[in-house]
Amino acid sequence: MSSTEEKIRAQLADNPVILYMKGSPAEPSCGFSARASGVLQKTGIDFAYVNVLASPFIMEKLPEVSDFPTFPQLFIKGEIIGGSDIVEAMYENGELMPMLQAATGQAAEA
Amino acid sequence: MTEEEIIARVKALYPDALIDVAGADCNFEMYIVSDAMEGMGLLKRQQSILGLFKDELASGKLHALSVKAKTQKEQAGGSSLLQIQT
Repeated sequence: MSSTEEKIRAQLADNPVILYMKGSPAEPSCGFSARASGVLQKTGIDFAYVNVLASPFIMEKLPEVSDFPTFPQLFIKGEIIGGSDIVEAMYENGELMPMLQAATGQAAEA
Repeated sequence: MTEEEIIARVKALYPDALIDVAGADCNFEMYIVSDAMEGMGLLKRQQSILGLFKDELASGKLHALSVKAKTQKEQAGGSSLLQIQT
């Protein structure tokens, strides 16, 4: 396993909810990353994020690890959930919130 | 990539698909309806379609591809309630 992949696996193991995105939630660098991080912020659940623009090795390696070729990518309990289309769809159909709550043990809705 | 190239590639995987693509250059939004996606979760649907463009997405030739994928029944707005024959 490459050191980059080990780093990714450690991040996934240490953070129940983690978003790999372009930019930061405060300053997203792409509309899709803005949408996904915006949805997560609305839930009030704490989440970790990695700015892949600042981590080119992760940006290159993650699509191979997750079998998902675009960013952003949301992981809950180490499992790939998907990108902004899926995050938005699951927020709207009510599936996202219980998954986030179960993963973090937070009651949420700030 | 052009819309035609994108549609052709998706059609190869989902021959029955109704496809609507909007966008230009390296940024596209796709709406796809195919009954072949029955029983597939949201993630599998996206992976199957985005995987067709893996190289273009990795090279930046294609920057973004937003995909909304549904079956005909879902598209019609029908609930997923199952009618049981009695």
